[in-house]
Amino acid sequence: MITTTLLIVFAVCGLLVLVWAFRWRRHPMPDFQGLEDHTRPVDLAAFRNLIDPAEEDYLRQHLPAGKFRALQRDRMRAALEYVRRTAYNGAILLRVGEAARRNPNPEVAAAARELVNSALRLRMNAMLATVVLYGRIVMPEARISVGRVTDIYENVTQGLARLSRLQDPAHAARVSAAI
Amino acid sequence: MNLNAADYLLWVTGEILLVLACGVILKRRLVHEFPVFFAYTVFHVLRTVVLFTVQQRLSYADYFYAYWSTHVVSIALGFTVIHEIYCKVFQSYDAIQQLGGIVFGCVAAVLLVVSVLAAVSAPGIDTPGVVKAIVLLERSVRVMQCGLLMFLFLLSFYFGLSWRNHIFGIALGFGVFATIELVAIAVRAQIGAIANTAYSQVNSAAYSCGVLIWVCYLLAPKPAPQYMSMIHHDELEKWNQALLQLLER
Repeated sequence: MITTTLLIVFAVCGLLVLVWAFRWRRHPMPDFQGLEDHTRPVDLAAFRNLIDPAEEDYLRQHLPAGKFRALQRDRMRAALEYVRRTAYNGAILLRVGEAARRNPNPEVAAAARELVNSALRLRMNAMLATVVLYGRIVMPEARISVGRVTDIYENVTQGLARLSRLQDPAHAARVSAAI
Repeated sequence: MNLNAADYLLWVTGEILLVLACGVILKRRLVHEFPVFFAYTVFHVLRTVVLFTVQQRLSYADYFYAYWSTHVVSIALGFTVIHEIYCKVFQSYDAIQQLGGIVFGCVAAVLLVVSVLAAVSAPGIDTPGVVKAIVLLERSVRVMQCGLLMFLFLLSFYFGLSWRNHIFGIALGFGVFATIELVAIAVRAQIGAIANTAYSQVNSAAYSCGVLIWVCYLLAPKPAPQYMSMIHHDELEKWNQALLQLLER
């Protein structure tokens, strides 16, 4: 009976995923004009500082062990929030790139393809970074690298800037500032 | 073997829809795009013809063996169609192009272990050895198919991958069929042989639903490309004003 129940629950979950995928697919693509309404701001310098190993070493040397652990947990929680924001923005920019990929201008299409690939790399790295950060919240003294999320996010923002310069040079700065 | 009118109706409906799906694939020249899926649909149409002939002219035992031996081929083809879906979803992204086959392999391996565990802990089915083995195999296959499709949908949602209309339709049709079939087979395994008729009808109805989804998506026109507009409303307004001034001159 337990196996049957588990299988039915599994199948119902499967049906729910299908319904949800069907509805999600009908969501409209985010528009460039309202990009700042969809994205979440990321202070890249502050984010870099939170995951900087040199900064961590300095705190480790100058703070008592208990205080360091508490502070490090707070820092990792803050870093986690930044990772979530970058991943969220990555998903939005992926859809922006997807739409521009079909542009008849080959230069725009190439820039969009590049943006899509960078955004995908960002999403993958953000997923790994999330796992690492949760681990570091549990074990604040562990020295595990969060990876290259900040560098990849920078690539994504550059990709967006390139794409917006090609499509609308006058407003490229405003579009880039949105993320 | 006794089939009533409802059984025939469900059987024929599914097959007519499948022939329609084959026709649409050929008419829209989608064979090169989805070769495995096309092979799957053609195989099923031919299988029905063979099974119908065997059922009308030969014994129940012949039909039984013909049905289950072709069913094994159908299962194998079903998995290759899901593999094709994985590859198609990932192949348009340079960054994760190679990931489709790898992810498919890993998820399939995990699900195979889960299915084997589910089969080992199966309830005592009141059916002879061969049928019990078939029911367990069927259940394991559906667990794997459901899991593979669920994982693909969740993964593509996480990455924000966009699906082309036809691929989405094929995956959705497969998913609907596999999930309903999984519920039916789980209940059939629990209740036993008295649920055979209901199981067979639910199975046929689920299959028809899945094929109907394929037909609808294959028939749907390609969505018009959406280009990202960078022109702001205030600019359009300015251009409009300038044009009006020009016309007034």
